[in-house]
Amino acid sequence: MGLKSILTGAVLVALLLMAAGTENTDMVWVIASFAPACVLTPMVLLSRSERFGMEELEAASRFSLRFIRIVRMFILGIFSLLLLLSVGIVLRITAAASVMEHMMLVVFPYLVSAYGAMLVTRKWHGKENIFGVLAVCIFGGLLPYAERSIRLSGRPTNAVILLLTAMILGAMFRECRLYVKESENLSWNLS
Amino acid sequence: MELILNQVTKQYPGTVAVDRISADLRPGVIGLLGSNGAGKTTLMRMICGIIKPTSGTIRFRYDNDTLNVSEEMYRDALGYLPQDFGYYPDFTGRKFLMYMAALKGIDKRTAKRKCEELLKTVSLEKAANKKIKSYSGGMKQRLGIAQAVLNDPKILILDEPTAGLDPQERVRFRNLIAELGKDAIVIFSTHIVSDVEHVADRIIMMKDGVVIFDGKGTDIREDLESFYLRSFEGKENE
Repeated sequence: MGLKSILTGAVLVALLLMAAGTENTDMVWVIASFAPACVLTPMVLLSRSERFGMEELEAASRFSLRFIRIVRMFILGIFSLLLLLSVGIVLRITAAASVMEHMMLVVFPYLVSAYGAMLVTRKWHGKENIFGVLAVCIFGGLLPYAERSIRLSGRPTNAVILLLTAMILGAMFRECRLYVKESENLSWNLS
Repeated sequence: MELILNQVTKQYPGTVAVDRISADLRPGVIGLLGSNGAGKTTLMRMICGIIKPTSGTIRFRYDNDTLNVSEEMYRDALGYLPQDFGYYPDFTGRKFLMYMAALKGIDKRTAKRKCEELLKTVSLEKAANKKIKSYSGGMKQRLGIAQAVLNDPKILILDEPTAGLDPQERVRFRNLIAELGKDAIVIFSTHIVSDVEHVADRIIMMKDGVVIFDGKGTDIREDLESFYLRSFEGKENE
């Protein structure tokens, strides 16, 4: 991970800490809108080989491309989990948000963005796919506001929130599986 | 040690890039000659396991008993320099080699030692801490050669390795692969005849996906360059 990524992370943590100290309920929406943007970092790192033309060299190394992709996804998954957890804690401190609110405002938009970004990366090869990922993240950032409008006309039940989150989580796992499978198509056949 | 290609074919919609190539490759330097589009890169990528043959098999016999080695063992024995390879712009030459060593499963201590050795061999020790984006084409190519031999490969695949090297570097490189060819199967592709005739123990000439010559340079009764040009005359005039 480069210096830029570390600095971006540090700025993000600082923003979260500042938000935690403000006791301003409007900050909830700001934080919720920023969370999907964090998908950019894992996606940039995930498609790094392809963007910089390192895939061919990595594919011929000791560890298969499949293995490399799985390890990267695992590391980035942990990163995402820690991020969502930190945002959850901040929301709890700032606005006494419940787990369900956290799930609806942060986890769901984050997963929608992550799913969209995975789909773009798998379908759209080349350096330019980062613009597609960016568009998906912007869309994800707008989702909390859409949810706010929905909330004004009637609060969704916990079951609906859980169902939507489970659905997007399932789609996300499917996308990860297809991403790994794609590497298998390139892999060695010692038949 | 033997690499056995049996009827290896790669077909793309509307074209056969490699057409039923069979060969038994043993330690030594094998020069793969052919014009652009002859199928050299496709064949090399198949040997490296980057692309799957449409049909046919590629098997590696490490010793007399083992014909079907595991994927990991095969990859462990492999060194590869692609025709065009990328690099992470924030990497220095040394960091790039350390990264490749990690991917090749070399432990840190050995990797550090090997990297220093190879940086010296390819004359990049002074530029080792500079970012790769500041390297010239020849320096990048030398770095590529260094990463290919990091794991002391038993099968070394070099796709157009002399591209971008100046005459002096080219001679040094030839000597290096001649040395490596003593213990390993070194396959290097080029369309520069002089690269092959100086070091190759065996020459495989490809045209339109098929092998049109497979033998020693001495088997050709005329000058290799004339033979090569005559073989590709039709293609060159198109």
